[in-house]
Amino acid sequence: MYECPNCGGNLKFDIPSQQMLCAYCESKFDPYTIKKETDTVDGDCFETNVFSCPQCGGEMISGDNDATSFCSYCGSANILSGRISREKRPGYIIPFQISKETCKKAYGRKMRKAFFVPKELKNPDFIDGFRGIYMPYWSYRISQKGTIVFRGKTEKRKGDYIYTDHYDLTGNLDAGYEGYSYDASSAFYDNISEALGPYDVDQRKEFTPAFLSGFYAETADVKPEVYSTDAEELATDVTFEKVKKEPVFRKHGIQECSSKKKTAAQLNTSCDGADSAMFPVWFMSYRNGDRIAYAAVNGQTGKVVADMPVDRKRFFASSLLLAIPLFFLLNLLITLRPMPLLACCALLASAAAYIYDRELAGILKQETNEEDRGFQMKNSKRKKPPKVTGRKHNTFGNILLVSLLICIIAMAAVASIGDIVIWIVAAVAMCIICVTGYKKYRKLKNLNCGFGFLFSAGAVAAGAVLRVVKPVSDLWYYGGAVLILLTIIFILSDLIRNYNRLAMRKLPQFDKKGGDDNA
Amino acid sequence: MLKRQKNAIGRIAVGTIALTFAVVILSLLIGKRAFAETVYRNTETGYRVVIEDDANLLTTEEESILAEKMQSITAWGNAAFKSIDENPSTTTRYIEDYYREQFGQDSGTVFLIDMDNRNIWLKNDGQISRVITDSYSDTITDNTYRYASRGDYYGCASEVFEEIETLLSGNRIAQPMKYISNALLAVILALLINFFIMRIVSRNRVPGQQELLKRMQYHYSLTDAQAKYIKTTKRYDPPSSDSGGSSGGGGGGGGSSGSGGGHSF
Repeated sequence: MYECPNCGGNLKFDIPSQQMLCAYCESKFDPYTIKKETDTVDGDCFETNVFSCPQCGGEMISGDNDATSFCSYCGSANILSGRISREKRPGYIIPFQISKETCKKAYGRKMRKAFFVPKELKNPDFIDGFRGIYMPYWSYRISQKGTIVFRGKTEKRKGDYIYTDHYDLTGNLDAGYEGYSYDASSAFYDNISEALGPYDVDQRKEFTPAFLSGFYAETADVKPEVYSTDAEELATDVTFEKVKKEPVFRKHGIQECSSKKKTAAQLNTSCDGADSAMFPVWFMSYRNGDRIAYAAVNGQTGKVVADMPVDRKRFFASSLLLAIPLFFLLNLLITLRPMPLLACCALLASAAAYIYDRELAGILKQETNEEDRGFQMKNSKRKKPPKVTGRKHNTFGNILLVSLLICIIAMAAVASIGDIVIWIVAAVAMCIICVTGYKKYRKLKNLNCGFGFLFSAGAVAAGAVLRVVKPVSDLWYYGGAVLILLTIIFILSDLIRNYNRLAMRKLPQFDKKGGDDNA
Repeated sequence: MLKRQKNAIGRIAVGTIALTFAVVILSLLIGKRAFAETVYRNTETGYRVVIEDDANLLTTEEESILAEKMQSITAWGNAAFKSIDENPSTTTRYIEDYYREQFGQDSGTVFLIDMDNRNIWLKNDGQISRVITDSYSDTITDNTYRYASRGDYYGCASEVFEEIETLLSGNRIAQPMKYISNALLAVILALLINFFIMRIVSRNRVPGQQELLKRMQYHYSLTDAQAKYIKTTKRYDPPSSDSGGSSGGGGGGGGSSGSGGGHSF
């Protein structure tokens, strides 16, 4: 606790004034002038309270002595046990710029568009649970200095020959990047921290423990090497784009290297180091059974990143309501004959199965923290940082693209060739999806149901048999179509049931059985 | 001599009458099938009713009842019932040709039972096709093919013209399977739409390169940029000989107008 020099009251960092404020006498002080004896244990460390959650083992540090009443990581309402600890001083800090009230408003705006989230997530009392936490980050320094050499070539035609002039393009490059940051905590998910950024490093300040007063902080446990390649790649991309625009180089047709690694080497890219920093995050968790959803608000810019679980009752009720106008619209617009109807149903079934397959892939990644390299590094025995997996796949974009393609194929097929093409597309798609989906399903434990693929594939196969046999009575086709449509509804219900596994996360366990073993 | 001639003429006349009578009696005794074309003309609109039962599917009595039912349609256009038991082409081609031959460009409707291809088909044009659309033609044949499957051709034709008259009068016809399948499709579409809305809203946008650069500190300078010539290489690549554009194509062929639909039985 920081004592007020005037009245001895508790000093806390005041966001609007960016000063230390006494709650009793309202005196304000420069954070750099306020120090405890323990703030300077030695040059590299400072003394602080560490609070541990007895349930998940998650740890947070704070300059205050007050015991916290809930854990931000697992959402459990336990009194966290505290102890004094020495922590490594970060290089600099970006103090909180937006207040809790502003944070709550920003979160509220985001939630207004989220129609299907559980109502608790919009409850003002619940939203009041946002907690100010300084998250550890590595802020990289990348330099590109020295002579660069790239190949260039221009072509011109003379008669039956094409003449290619080859050039060496040289120049003296001096480029540098500072402030490209990655979170340094394995407890903080990469996909949250990436979306939460960027932080404006112009507003960074030299660290002093007084800034932590009134807030919590997470400690760094991920090595800086984990993300250095990402920082180098970003610098390489940006610099090469600029180099390409250099008039002399553009005129002589500068050529890109065969790989990004070679381009980085040509640009003399090197990581000069990573500064340890603390960035402000308003953080909140929502627990539902054995899953947890996080909401984080950038404490500097107010950007909101939130997991959005779905309230299934609300989702199905609103879907049924939406189905009413759609039913009237369909009756006005289309009358599908029995055979094309059956084919369209088969195509819809394969589209639904594809969406389900993608969801399983997402859940699998989520469960294994495949894309969280900080987590992978911390939890694997490898000493080398995990490989950069390149640009992340846009799963949702893929789903939308494939759905659109399927619709276009269906329309084209119905218009020109008939329903045979739809059947071929549906059957091939269904077979591929069933094989890939089943592999994912086997890897996932405790998945709610998952027979969707099987039912749907069976119904599509039955429909295909009907298409081949071609019975005269329409009732067969309508029966087949209704069967397929019912399996689609089954798949989609399954999809929504399992969606919360994708939208929420596993309860964290931070390698500390029973909590704070260090206490 | 004259008397003998008179007797001969009398015998021929009596013989002819007797033969005609015998043929009529025989035809009534052998079967009740009719081969004749029945025509009714609406004096107000000028539209006709045509019944050509070449496949011999209806009785005379059935034809006359059907003709009566079809008369009400002549307020909007011509109406024809046609049955065939031999068709070297397709049902659609046949009905298109038949319609043109009977009614030309006039408003009308033709219901065809093609016993050769085992199809029933409905073709409409003009004012009638604006009400009896392709979709309704399909629905009508879907609703009536079962009669044909059972061999009740009169029932089939009668139901077809009744449904046409119902629609032309501004009333509705039953489309139970359309409603059931559309209801299920609507539920699926609603689930999918809501799912996509949910995914769009729950996306957390990752900042792009430009956004990252705005918040970083960086400097860039490239001095003494030079291009040093190394060498020239050449490769043989003759210009493509298939130059010149082709002339534009003609217009599309004329398709059939109006509406129609059918069903196998």
